[in-house]
Amino acid sequence: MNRWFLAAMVACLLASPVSAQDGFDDAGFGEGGFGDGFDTEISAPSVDLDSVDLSVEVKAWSFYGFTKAEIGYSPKKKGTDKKLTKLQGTLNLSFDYKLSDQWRSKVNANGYVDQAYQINGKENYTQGTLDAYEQEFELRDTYVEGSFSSGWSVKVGRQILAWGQSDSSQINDMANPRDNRELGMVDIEDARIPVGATKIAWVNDGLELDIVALHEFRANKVPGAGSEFDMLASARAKGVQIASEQLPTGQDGGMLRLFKSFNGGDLAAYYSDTYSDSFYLDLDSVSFVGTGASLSLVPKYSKVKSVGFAANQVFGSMLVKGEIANKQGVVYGRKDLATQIGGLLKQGTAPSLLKSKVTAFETKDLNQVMVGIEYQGLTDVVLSSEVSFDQVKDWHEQLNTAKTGGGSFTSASYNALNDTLSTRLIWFHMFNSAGDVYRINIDYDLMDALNISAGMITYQSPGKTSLLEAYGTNDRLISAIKYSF
Amino acid sequence: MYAKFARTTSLMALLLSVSLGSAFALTPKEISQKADDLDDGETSISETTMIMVDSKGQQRVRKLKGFRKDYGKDTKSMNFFLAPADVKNTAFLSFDYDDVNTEDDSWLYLPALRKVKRIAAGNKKDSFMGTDFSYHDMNGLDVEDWSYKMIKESAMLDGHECWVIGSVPVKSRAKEVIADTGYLKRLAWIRKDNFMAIQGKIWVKKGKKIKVFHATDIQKIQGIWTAKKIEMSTLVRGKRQHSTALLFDKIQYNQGVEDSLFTTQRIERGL
Repeated sequence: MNRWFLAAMVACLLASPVSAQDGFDDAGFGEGGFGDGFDTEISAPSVDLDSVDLSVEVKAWSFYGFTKAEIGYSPKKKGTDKKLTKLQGTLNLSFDYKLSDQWRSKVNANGYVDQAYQINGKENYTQGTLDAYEQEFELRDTYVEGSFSSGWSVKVGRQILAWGQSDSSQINDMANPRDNRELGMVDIEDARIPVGATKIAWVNDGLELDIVALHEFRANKVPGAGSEFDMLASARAKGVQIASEQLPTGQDGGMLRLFKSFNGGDLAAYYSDTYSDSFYLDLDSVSFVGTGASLSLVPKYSKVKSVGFAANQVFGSMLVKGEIANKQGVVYGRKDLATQIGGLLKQGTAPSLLKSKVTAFETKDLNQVMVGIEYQGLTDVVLSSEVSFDQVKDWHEQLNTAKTGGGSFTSASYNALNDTLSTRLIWFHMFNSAGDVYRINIDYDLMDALNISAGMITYQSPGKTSLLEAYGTNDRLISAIKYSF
Repeated sequence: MYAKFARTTSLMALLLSVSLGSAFALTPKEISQKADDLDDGETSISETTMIMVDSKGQQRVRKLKGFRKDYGKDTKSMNFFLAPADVKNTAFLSFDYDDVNTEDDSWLYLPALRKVKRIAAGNKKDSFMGTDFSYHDMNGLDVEDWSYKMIKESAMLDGHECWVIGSVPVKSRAKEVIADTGYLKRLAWIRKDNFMAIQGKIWVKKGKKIKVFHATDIQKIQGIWTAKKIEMSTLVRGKRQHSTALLFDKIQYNQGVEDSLFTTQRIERGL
């Protein structure tokens, strides 16, 4: 854990009122007994209700949303890289309509425009960057839901399922892809991307069975080609061409969940047969220029079957949670494509046959496990930590992944001033010396509908070969103002 | 939460037939027990306006709809936030068990996450949703955890004769009770005609705070005494720091409240 983050976390805990100096000792109060007496002086009611609208109207429809302005500043950028990384205006609109006591519908749309690219000069960015970040208009949660029989309900449309216990990793949360365009900067509430689906649920005495048919494939949102978060930057630097992704055309798949609540805990079992939200790279073509060869890879998506379980249990102020899953059909690219091609050419394989002879990827089983805690025993403080582990079955060194991986996610939140001020520290540590992400965020409600926030995010790379080494100059200062209506 | 609060303060005289003569014979603990035992109906439905006011007079207003149902001595409650927009559709589901050895169950639905999260509600001295009420205030304190003393046999408040009863944690468990509730001692003004606590003063261990409680606009609804306005203020060195007023409206007791309402699926679906 880096030093400033540790200091900030300690400061956060010290700010929580758990010091030994609280109490009334200096005012003459002891702990227990009637010896100190009772001062019966009491102030009169003080809340002025004259200006408050006291009606609570439950209407058949409601229209609401928010508008937000965000700015991002990257202090480590140098040269032609611009320090202004975001100047974004967002509008989010929701319309809820209650068709009857049993049926309701929702439409939610979200759009933003980021002026930073215009201000900095679009010519300074790749088209992939502009496509990924400059603007977006999206229909998000849009569905009809209702009950059609005692204990039975259905929800049809774009929706988020948010299954599983983990707040940081996708283990049994297989329905919704995620927005991974800016590592560590997208809050979990904004990260899940709704997908078109039909969910039929049956509920009886704390037992819930969900049957889900997916009708839409949506992939994870990934950093734009040539952007500062480009995951394939090192491949591109070596001259590898990345073709347009090839979207799946088969059945989108389905999911099952059996969920049971009992006193003190919840237990769930999951099964899914869906397309992975993450792409793998297949060999698209090999071309020869002079004496060299140039590879073109194409992102594709594979069907993955997953079986898993999740549970939580409360112990006083602590919630212990865990998840486990076995995934079949996870595709990993190979890192020895150039070696394979060189060998085939030496053997006299015709260039036109290379694509069919090269093994560009392999399908493996993946085991995942997560354990975590949430602790709320300190006044106004919530501490949470998760550790997740991945293990690739039948792994070998030519796979473009580690045999084991995972990471830890730790956060400390402190609320003050009657929940108008909240501070959150987050530390995301990636195993295999991949790097660390630290984030601090402060939110303040200026008034009921107006919130301001500021924060900082920093990427720490432990070495030149670290996954986050390329993110070294991507540290951010961020600030936002949000008005809800 | 609020429904639980309404339960503890919903001001129904359990023993309307108690004669004045027998009431005089009650000990402070018996009076407090009767105040705690006031009938609040098997079920309740109500709408609430929650007003939070800071030291500068700035107001934040929340609107909720709540449902409660008793299952023997246990209670299930569900509350939906209706406004403002930034908390709309947030919902809180709670199963409160009478058995002190059984952990209460609580789930919170946060619409931004679209996820029902189980809450470890062990720390009940925390503020409920930024209000001046703690989770303990909402659920009520265990009468057996406190020792009671009659401070004033008779005091007039809002035109009603009251007992003024002081209470401190029982000596054998004082540290434990203080750690659990955060309270050093309490004063309660309990109406003699219906055993309703209409005013209170609480000494909070943390931060040298005093909490002051008032219940007003008291009406008999469907035969049940109900405080339609409840206010809790937090004071430090005599200066008001923050106040919360809960205004209850459209209260219905003993109406049909379906069991299916108190499920994690329903908390997600919303009102």
